[in-house]
Amino acid sequence: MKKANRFTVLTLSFFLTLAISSVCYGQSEAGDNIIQGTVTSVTDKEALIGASITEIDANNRVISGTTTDVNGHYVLKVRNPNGRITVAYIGFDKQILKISNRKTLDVELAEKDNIMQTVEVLAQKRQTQGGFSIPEREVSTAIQRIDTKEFEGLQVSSIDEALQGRISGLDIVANSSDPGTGTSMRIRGVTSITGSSQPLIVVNGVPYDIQVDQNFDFANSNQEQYANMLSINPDDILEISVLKDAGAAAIWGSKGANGVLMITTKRGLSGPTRIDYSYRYTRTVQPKGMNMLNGDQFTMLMKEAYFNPRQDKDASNIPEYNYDTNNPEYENYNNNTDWASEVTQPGNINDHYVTISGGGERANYRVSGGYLFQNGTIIGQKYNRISSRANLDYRVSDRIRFGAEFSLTNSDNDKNHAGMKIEGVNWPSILNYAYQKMPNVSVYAQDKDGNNTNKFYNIPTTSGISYDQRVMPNPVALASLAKFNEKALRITPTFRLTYDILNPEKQMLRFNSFISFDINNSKVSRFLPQEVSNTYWDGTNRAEDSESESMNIFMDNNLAWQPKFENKDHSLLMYGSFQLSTGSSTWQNILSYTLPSSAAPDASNDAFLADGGSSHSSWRSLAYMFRGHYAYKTRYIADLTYRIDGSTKFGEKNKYGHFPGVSLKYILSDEPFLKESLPGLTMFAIRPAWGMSGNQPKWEYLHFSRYQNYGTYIDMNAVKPSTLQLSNLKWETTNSFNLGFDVGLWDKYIFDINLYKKNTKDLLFPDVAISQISGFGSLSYINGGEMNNSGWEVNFYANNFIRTKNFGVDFTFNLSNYTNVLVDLYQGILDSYNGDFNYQNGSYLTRIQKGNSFGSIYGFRYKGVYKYDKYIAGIQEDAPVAKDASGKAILDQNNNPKYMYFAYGQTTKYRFRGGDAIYEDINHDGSIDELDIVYLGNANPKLNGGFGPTFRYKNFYMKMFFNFRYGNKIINQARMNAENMYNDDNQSVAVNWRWRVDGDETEMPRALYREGYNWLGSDRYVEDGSFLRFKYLQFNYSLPKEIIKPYHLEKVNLYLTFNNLLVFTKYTGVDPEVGYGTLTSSRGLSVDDSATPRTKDFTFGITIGL
Amino acid sequence: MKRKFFIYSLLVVVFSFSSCSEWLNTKPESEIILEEYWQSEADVQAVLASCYRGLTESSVIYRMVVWGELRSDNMITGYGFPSGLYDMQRILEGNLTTVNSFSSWGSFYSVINYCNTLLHFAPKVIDRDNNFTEFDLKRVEAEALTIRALAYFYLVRTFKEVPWIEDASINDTQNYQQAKDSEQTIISNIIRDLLIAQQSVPLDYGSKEYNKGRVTQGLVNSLLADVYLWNQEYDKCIAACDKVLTNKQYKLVNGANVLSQVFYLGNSNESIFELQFKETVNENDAIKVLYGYSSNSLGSIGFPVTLAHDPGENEQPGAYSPFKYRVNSTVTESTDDVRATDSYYQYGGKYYIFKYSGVMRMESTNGKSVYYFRSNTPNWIIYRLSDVMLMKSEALVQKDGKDNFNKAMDLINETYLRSNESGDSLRVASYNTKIEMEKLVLRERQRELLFEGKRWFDLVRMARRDNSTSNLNTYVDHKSSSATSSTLGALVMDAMYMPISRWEIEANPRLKQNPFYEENTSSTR
Repeated sequence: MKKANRFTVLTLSFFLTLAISSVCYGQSEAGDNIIQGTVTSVTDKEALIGASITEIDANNRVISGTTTDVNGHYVLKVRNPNGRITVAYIGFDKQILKISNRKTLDVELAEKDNIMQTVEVLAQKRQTQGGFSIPEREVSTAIQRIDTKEFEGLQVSSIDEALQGRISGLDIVANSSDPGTGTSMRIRGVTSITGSSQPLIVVNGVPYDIQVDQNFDFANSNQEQYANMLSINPDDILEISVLKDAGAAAIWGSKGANGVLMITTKRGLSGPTRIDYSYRYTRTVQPKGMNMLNGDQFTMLMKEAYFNPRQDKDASNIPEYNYDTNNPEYENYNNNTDWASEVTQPGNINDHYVTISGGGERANYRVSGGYLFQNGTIIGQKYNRISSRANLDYRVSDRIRFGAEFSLTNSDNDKNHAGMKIEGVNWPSILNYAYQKMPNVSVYAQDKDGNNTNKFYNIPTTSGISYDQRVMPNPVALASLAKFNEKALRITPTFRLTYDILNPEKQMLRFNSFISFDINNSKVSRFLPQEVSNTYWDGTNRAEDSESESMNIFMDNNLAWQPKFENKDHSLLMYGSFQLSTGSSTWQNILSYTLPSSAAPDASNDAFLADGGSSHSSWRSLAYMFRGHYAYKTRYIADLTYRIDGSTKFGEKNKYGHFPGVSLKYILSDEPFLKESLPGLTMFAIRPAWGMSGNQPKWEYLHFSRYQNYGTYIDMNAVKPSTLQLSNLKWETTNSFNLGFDVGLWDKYIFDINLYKKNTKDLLFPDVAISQISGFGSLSYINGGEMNNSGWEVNFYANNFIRTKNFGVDFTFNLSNYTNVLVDLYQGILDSYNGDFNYQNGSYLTRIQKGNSFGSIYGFRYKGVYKYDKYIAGIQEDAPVAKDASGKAILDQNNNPKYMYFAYGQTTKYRFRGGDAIYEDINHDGSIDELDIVYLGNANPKLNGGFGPTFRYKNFYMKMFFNFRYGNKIINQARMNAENMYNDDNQSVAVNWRWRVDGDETEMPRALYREGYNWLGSDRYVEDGSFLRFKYLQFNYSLPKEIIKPYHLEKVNLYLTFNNLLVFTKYTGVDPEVGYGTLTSSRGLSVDDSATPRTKDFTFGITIGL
Repeated sequence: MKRKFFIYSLLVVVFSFSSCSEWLNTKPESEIILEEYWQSEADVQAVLASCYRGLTESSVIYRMVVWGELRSDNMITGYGFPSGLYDMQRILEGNLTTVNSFSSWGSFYSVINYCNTLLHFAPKVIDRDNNFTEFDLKRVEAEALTIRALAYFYLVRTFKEVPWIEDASINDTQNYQQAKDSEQTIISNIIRDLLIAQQSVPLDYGSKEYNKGRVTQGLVNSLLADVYLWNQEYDKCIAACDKVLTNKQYKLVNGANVLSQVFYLGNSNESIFELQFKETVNENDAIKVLYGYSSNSLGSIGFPVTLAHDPGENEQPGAYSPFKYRVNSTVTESTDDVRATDSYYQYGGKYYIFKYSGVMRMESTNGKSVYYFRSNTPNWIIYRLSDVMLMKSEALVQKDGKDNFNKAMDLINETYLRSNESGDSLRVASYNTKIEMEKLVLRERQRELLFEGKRWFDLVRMARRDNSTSNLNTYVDHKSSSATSSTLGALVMDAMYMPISRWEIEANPRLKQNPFYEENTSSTR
């Protein structure tokens, strides 16, 4: 017993000494009242080493203290010779003794009785938000909580992965499975279409949003969107509450419109020190992607593709496809390279995690540290993360409490130098390159005998092959030589103080204050060496370094008052809060081209300094908030919230925003008449709620007309007006109504149902084009539009619905749906976002339209392939001629059928021939043009959700979880690229079924090199993205106490998890889980461009507790 | 007592910030806000520098090439059009639509806005900075007026009618939807501004780079001459040209040195105004991509075989070449013209641009040339002396009459002879008619100003005089070897001008599309 506690004692005494020494300091003038003595054990009379002796005042506040030495002796200077001291030692009963002017006081402590008596604890789960704590059953807004126990043993590097499918109304889609990339998250659909539909994350009461400098916002932010959740180790999270309706989210006012995710981290619990160590090993495997052509099939296709447009043998005389042994490059073009498998590899994750926690009467602590190392499934991807978190709670007295939290995350992510935008050019993912790269080309340059040399092969610039292939990087070289490293360090210390101004026994008046710092440093270095491609342009040996630093301080002072009423039917809680935040960030960037060698990939080396810059920005905001909670007979409940937000982002006119919220709850099942008549109905409550919340523009300083450095001309430094002043910009406001029902049957089956309607006004739109005669291309933001969202959600839990002594089954299920309609939009926005049809292959007419959902897809209807070239009435009907509504060919005055054209009357007009794609001629005018474009579907799912049972048998658990989305449409661009037969890009094996000669009946048009319109944006590539994924299957076994006891172990748990076991889908791409596009990139469409698909993996894990 | 103090201090903490609306005022740190700008002469000079800097944007230089020459007979596809230049490809195919990115004029209006902003705020600085005098103000305004006039002159030549904007754009409450002004309004405004500028612009800044890279009397007069010539006011054009030609600052460079001195080194004696680039500060990306440089010697733009003459390789010039041009059975122009060998070069049967991209050309003993390409960034010349000489000769020819022809011929011979050292001077007797003289000027301008962003405007000027595009089309069709494609030029007069970008019309519905490109779509959004 004593032995086991040695460590605890040391740790505790360390903390106590720390705390006490500070208290003692400066109290020597209190007089020379010294008390001393020895502390011994009653049973064996042995001295107790390290027992704590503290003097306490009337409020049990510690005013001085010490610990016993090796002889169990102590000396304590006391302030009040008539006060009290406590003597405590772990494992022994504490004693409180009156000093009564004594100078010597020996104490004998008795060992704690180990026999526990049965105690019945009546407690209610409470919902706590800062100082605002109410019983959970009295919560009247739409909040869903999830305990992270649910995810124990899963391998997730970020908590959002684990949340997927768990919370109704929260739609999470992984952007890709590249290490360190985040997810797109939407609570109850999109309320804002400014690109930021992501919910606000609040960690222990502190908003966790990083404000970045406008310049630092790389154009690829889509990928990084929620990577910031990565900096919280999932193992440190205790529970997550999702605030879904504005009644609840109104407490975050101008930032809450997209919903709020509140994360509470684990804290230390009183008790002996516990040490937990867990280790998880995960092996990840990428699912097999598209089947691509090999080199031989490809060159055959290309010969045909070059021949077809001109019907000329010479056109297809391309040296790279000729297998001509006289060609000095012959060996480099006679291969069958499977580029996709060249760049993929099985990945693995090693995750270590240690926690030390414990606490005593005065202090609780929890310290954790984790190390995660991941190899991605694409070569060259490495991710390293060290995270640590420490929580300390210290009770100074019964009335004053002090707490500190500290967290640190350091990550080092080697990504692929792809999947981003560099100088306006999109670099697709490595996998995307691998699918496009010509398969007859070799990875390494080959000598004349066909042996690989140690140099990567790149198509020379003098080659006659199309430009895109010529400059396309060698994917293997790009993955192995190019560098894209992102290092991030985030430190967030928080200090808290709670003080009960009045005696909490009588009534609660509690002052709560905390200040939190968020320090964030990140450094991105990129290097693109010459060896990866043969581009002549400035993009080679290009190094870019950028660094950003930001620091945010958030302060919250609040006062909670809960009077005690004589009449126990009333209960009231009032809460007022004042929040303040301030922050600043700096950013700098250097970009160099044409560095002398790839051995020195540092942008600051001697080279052409192409670009460089730095910027600073700072922001502040404040908020006043009032909340009230009133319950009568604990079944008539009303809540009120009012928040006023002020921000530096707006000009004088609109600095402050007002966000009220009201919610009511009526717990019918508590009515005596129902209790008697329907005893099985353990809960039935109705919750109506209304609230307002808002959304801010992303950037600061919009209400100024600003002047910016503009380089130099000759030797004159130039400064230009860089922005137009936005004098009328204001918050985007969401009004939301929620009607909720809580139903509980026999305490076993719980339903939680919500219906909602949201209306968002003054939608913020970024970068709206204005007439260029202003000298500016666009306004950074305008308020212009209105959008409605409505939907419903159902959560269902069945806890232990089958239960025997050794066996139990739980089941959870959730389902949600929403629809989204753009009610009104400012004409200028429509004009600026809605491009016209560009008469080009491969692109969809992207538009946002009043009365339709955001994310709607418009395009042609694909009807297969013209079987014949020449029309012969009745015999060769399936030929490219114009037909009227009844399907009869339209004839001219000479009785010849009119040909079918693309864009008749335009210079781009093209006559369709046999083997070309058929598009439905909606208006039967014999010309396929923008008038034949129709609505093809929507990127928003009709239903999404998840379900899964948990089986428990003795010490053995089995958890299964499924998630699904239903009814969303995806544009399969990867397939479009792999079936267009238009360029020198590699194609999928599906093109082997292409139309070759008259009469071929197929769905696959003929190969046409840079001719024709066989791959217009049509429903051919719009696919149903519905899926049902067997997300994980987990086995969990805790070793019985009898086995581990001899090894002094508290617990040993073993896990085996299979992730992403099966996907049921009709989608033909690799993975139907495709992230949402942003407004600017794809008008909210989901576009599958071969991002790294979700991997299939298995995890083995072990947790050992001491 | 102690508790009370504690509570009070808490209240102070809670409410200390409550009345601070100042708290919510932050100002940008890396930018300056309008309220704090325009305090000193340095602020004025910095915005003036932006007016010039704006002209060096590659979006501007691209347009100077595309609007001024791409549509003419001088340019075809060169080596491997990068997909970013897709819209140029479309223009070369004669497929010019309202969605073509070169139909957007934003980069020129940005420059115009810098000028407008300067003209709006600079007068206020006089009261704030004692060192900034009325004289300084006038000089700065003159520079801004000239740059604005230059920008509008490009717009009016390209679009014919554009909105004339004089107000500085400051905030979102201003009306940015303005209708087009007539061509005559724009031109008379340009002339008005240039005449004002003329009174205050310096002759000499005391430094070579300033004298060639900033607004000088030379630029104002050259620009005036060009505007008058466009507006068919020939006497005024001649008078303006004379002011330049009498300026001793400007001298023609020896013909053999033109390539290296005028186009490689830059800021030569014959240069009047050229946009200054420096690789460490501001690369001339557009010209490097389009014309080529050392690591990419094959530029994206090529020169048609039908127009080329390649004395070293092939004595027989292309069918429509201005070089080795047979005027009649006895007279042949430019038989040994150094411009034919220095302006472009042959590679793999195609011709690529050497002007601007080259450092020098060395002829080996067997008559073959070795080409050396530049690795740095070229200046872009807007006006040089030979251009002004040929403008004057064009005006003289238009005035008709033997005497004028003689004067014109003297000027033509100045540029002609320096590049044809072994050749005879050209004589009026060989041409005689106004039509022949006109063609000669056009030919000499083509030879002299090849790839300098002038040719299309020369052809449009001719078509405006003809009031027909048929001659223009004849010239433009010369670049196409196949006889079938005759739509490269302009079907009607209006087709010589660019369409207004469709997005621009959507953002500004008061604009009316250039009639040739009007679409009768009834689709609404």
